[in-house]
Amino acid sequence: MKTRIVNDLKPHIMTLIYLVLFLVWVFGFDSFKETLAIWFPGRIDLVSRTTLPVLTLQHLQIVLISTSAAILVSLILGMLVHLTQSDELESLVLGLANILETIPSAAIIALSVPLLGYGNAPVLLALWLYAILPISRNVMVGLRGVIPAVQDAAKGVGMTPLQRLLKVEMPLSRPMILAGIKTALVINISAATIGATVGAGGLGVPIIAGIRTYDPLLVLQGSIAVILLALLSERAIR
Amino acid sequence: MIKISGLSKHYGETLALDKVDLKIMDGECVVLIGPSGCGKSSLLRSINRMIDIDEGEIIVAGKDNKTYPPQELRRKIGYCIQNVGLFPHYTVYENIAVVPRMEKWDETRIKERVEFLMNLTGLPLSYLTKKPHELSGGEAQRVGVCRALAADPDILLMDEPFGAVDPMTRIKIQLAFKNIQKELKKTVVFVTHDVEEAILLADKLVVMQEGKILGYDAPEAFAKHMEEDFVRLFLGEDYPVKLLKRHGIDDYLKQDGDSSVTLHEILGRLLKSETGVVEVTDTQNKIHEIRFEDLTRYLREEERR
Repeated sequence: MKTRIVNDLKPHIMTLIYLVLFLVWVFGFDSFKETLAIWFPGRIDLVSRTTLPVLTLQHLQIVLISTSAAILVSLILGMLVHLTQSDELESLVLGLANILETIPSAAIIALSVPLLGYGNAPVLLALWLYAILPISRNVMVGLRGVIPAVQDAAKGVGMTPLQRLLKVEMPLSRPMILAGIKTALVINISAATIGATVGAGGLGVPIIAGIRTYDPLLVLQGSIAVILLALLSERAIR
Repeated sequence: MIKISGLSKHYGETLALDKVDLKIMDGECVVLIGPSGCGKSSLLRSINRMIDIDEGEIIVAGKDNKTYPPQELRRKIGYCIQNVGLFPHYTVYENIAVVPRMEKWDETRIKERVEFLMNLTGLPLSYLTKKPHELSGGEAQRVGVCRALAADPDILLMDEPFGAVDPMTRIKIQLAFKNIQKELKKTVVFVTHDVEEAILLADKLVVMQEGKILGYDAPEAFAKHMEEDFVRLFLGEDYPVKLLKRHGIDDYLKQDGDSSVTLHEILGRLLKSETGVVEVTDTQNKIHEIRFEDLTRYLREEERR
């Protein structure tokens, strides 16, 4: 019994370790910042005006809103494209998404400022656009990758295209779709830091401030939190 | 009855089926045989509209199959394919229950039907909760047969269903299927490129080449088609020897028995014997002598029937 619990927990051990490290860093930072200041000389009194838990919350908000919107759009897009059974349309959509992906996220953020103003909006837009490619690509590739014999059988037993999609193709491409979501999430967690340059909140705030004021401790405060958050979400989704 | 007339199908420039006519009687197992690319699979798949045909018509149960909505047609026809194509995320039970569930059967009826089919195909009921990846190749194919039979269709289409297993398992599952067919009397269209499998299972044999039917007859009566070079080449000069596998010693003695000895094995014993005679005992414990001439005579009689 005891060994079973241990075995069940084993795959989650790294997740737990990252979670603990992350929480310790976010909530405990104030208590050990003075010790850290010995190696990373900074002006302790200036260490971010907003507290780290609040910044983390802002960061998560930006990432989650943009990524979930991207998941929604990508799933609908991927399924619709798949249902048309058209190779041309699929390569067109993937081509467009690839072009989007070559534009640096910093450029999208900068370009959308004149339209959407300073703050969270341009960052949400950029991250949303950015997450669409990895997710929708994996949705399409996953749906297409279902073993031909299984697809043939699904058709042969008399399922409609929609039944095949929902009962067979979607469940079977779940790992592929999850992998796409994971990639998008990790990219967005790190890319969201750039948002601080256009006045968005989040863990980018201390990093950008630290770079401007030449304060390593500030940079460290934000970046370690971002790294741990990325590692944690990479581990937690499966 | 399935009545196919003037059926043609092109894939680009190549002609897969060339004005094929074929009448399949109820309760018969018709085996389509021929080399790869002879059109046998296309013919089978056009019956349940897995592929669309260019010309001709297919009458299924008195109606042109184009008048059925394709999904409804496919649900009425059992379908069994080479790589089985079991749904990997479903259990054995859910796999077999797919069509009955789409047909909105109530769950107790589905359960009874699934258990009946598991018994019929010789699968233990404990397998119902297994996932396809836990099954051996032969077991998966049996489940595939169960799934095809699940909604009790009158017609069964089987596209090299026993292709991907080892020879031992293969002969076992062939014999099991032969018994099932004897019991259920479905109208079966069966595609294979294995001559021995075809001879074993067929009520009628269809030899195809380049989209045309070269011969359509009971296996015993195929001698008259042997003038065609390709048929002779494909079925082999040893065709009569292969034919002996179809007939058990009980058929020969015209008795009701359960012997698994075939005339093919008797031939083997004859070839080894020094006297040219093999003695067999019938159910009344009477001893019969079998000579080479007796086998020749038996095959002639069967051909005339």
